[in-house]
This record gives sequence, structure tokens and C-alpha cells, in this order.
Amino acid sequence: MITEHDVLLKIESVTAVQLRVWITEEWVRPAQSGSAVTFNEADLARIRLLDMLNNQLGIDSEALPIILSLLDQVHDLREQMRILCTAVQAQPDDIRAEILKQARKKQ
Amino acid sequence: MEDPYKILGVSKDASEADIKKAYRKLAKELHPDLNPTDKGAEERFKEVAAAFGIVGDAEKRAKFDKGEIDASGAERPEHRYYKEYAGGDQARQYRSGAHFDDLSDVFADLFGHDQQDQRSQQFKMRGRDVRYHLAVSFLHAATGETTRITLPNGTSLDVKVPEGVKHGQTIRLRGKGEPGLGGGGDGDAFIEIEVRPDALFRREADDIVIDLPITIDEAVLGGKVEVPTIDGSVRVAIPKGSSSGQSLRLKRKGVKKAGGKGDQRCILKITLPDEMDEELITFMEKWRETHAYNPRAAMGDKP
Repeated sequence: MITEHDVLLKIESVTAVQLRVWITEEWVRPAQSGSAVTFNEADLARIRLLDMLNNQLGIDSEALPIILSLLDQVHDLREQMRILCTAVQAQPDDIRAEILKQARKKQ
Repeated sequence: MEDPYKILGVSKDASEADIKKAYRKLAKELHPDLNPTDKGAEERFKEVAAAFGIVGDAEKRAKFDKGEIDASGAERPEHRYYKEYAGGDQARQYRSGAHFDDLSDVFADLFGHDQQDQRSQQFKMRGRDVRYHLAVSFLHAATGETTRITLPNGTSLDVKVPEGVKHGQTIRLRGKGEPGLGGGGDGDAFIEIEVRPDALFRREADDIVIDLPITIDEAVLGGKVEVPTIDGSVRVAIPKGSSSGQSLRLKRKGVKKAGGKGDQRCILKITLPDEMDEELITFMEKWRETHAYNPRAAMGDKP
């Protein structure tokens, strides 16, 4: 379980105020635990990413949510693709070959 | 490592602003989270970050220029990038709500749906999953209980903590997340369980373990003692001649597991009375003269 304090210790360039803003804006969505919040490893990696975008690369708070939204959509698509690929892989060889053939035709 | 100036593509006399600009440009191109599929970009980003770690810092840059430090060892501590979690369980809260049903444009042909039909459907979105953290006592985790938690939006949710739940386990409540839109399903609630430690009981896999203090006379003569278990106390026979460290196994007094229950193990701990009386001391002195024994024989002949 990672607390807000732990996050600020681990990622020095993020301030407490900044982190609160990111949570209010729902760019980071830690779990609620009573009145406090707790972070998991994914939240922590996402905060590092926000730090990179906002603090290092100078992407401002207007552009940031657009990037995040697109990024989340990319990851959703990748996840859906993975699911689809698994489904295709479960097919018999001839069906897989046929799918591949059709897909190549379109490329 | 190569020359950091070369990696960033700037000259040795570039200004601080130019170096920062070059770094930003490369980082935007190469940052692994912005290029989730490009393994080459990740390697190059590492180099760029390390190069900027030297020449992006006025002090280190001066030292590097004077030859006091070289370019090696500037690699930053490795962190896992967000992309490694995205799509996984830990990053559920960041799903954008685009689920398989909604990818009609991409997959409609594949599944043989009528394109017209799909298009005419109104916008549909599944509700977002939500996550909570719930601390339960050791005993409640072992025996199971229903707890009501209050959500940030003021509503409450009954959570049935299953018997034998483990620390860190996540319970999924289907449809208890945020509501869906236009007929899309509701999101799920994921509740991560924290099991608080107990002063008396410990858990090892599906077994419950406790320390059981016994008196010297119980150890020597045996006896019956009351032992707490997670579902009330039971009377347990201490065999004659028990030693500290031996354990008594109470079958099926542990935690629920697939196809039954674990056991409770009671680790015996011979405990002397708070005050030693003359009688006991005198007896022991006499007893020692004629009954000396060596419980450390197995350790070799050292005293």
C-alpha cells in the first residue's frame, strides 16, 4: 500500500499541491480508503508519466488531459487487440491462415 | 556511453536552453509511454535521459567538460513505465470505457454484423470500474463477515468478505461501479482487502498458528487446557512430557480452503511462574543431583 507521503518521497519533482490537483482532475485515480487515498504500482507509474509530461516536457494542463485520454484509448485498444489475437490463436490452423490472408489483402 | 552532446544532437557550447529544448524534443519522440510498441525508442530514450542527466545539470556539465566525470554511470534508476501496467488489473481505473461491444467500426466486418444496424444504435458506454480499500480484522477475515462501506458519493455498499480472505486479495462486485450510459453495463467495484494482524493468531497458508503458554506441571504431567480458536475456545489435552516448541495440531480449526479447512497449530511454550518459590527451587536442586540430562546432545559436546 502506497500513501501520498510515499509517492512524494519517491518522486521528488512532484509537489503535494500538484498531486492533489492531478487527483481532483482524475488524471490519477487512487483507491479511496476512508478519508485517505492509497496508490498502487500503476498509479505510481502514471504519476511518473504525468511528472515527465507536465514537469519535464512542459506540456501544460490544457493539453495534458487530451494526451492522457488518447493514451488511455490506445491502451484500451491494445488490450482489445490482445483479446482478439488470443481468440484468433485459439482457432484451427486453416482458419488462422485464412484470417491472415484476408488481413494482408487489406494492408 | 557515447558523448552526451552527440546523443542530444547539440554542440559542446550549446546554451542551457538549447540543451533543454533538444532533450524535450527527443523525449517527446522517444518516451516509452508515448511509443508503447517501439522497443528501439525505449533504448534510445534511456540514453537520452542519461545524457541529459549530465549536460542538463550545470554542475555536472562543468565537471564533465573538465573531464572530472565521464559519461558512464549516469544511467537513471530503472522505473517501470506506465505502459507496463496499462491494460492490466492494477490500471483498471484508467480504462476509457471503450469495450469490445463498442468497437463496431473496427470489428463489425469481422463479426458479420450489419454495418447499418450498428451505426443506428445510440451511443453506449460501460460505466467506469471503481476501486476501494477495506481493512478487516484478522478474525473477520478468517471467518468472513458482511461489512457496509460508505462511498465517497454518500451511498453505501454491502461487501461480503468471504471466509478465509487473504491479505491483498481483491473482491470484485459486478455492476457496483459507476453506472453505464445508453444501456451500457455498469462498471465493477474492486475492493482490495487489508487484513490487520492479530495479537494472538497468525496465519500460515490455510493454517492458524498460535503460541500456547503452559505451566511446568502441565508440561510434565500433562493436562487439559482451554485454547482459543478462530471460532471459539476448545479444550485440548496437553500430553505428558511436552516440551517448548512442540506443536499440537487441531484438525480443521484453521481457515476455509478448497475442499475443507486448514488446521490450527498450537506451539507450546513452557512458562515459569512469575515468582519462584522455595519449594520449587529446593526440589529442582535435589532433582538435578540424580537426574541430570542433556537436551543439547545433538549440538555436539560444547556446553
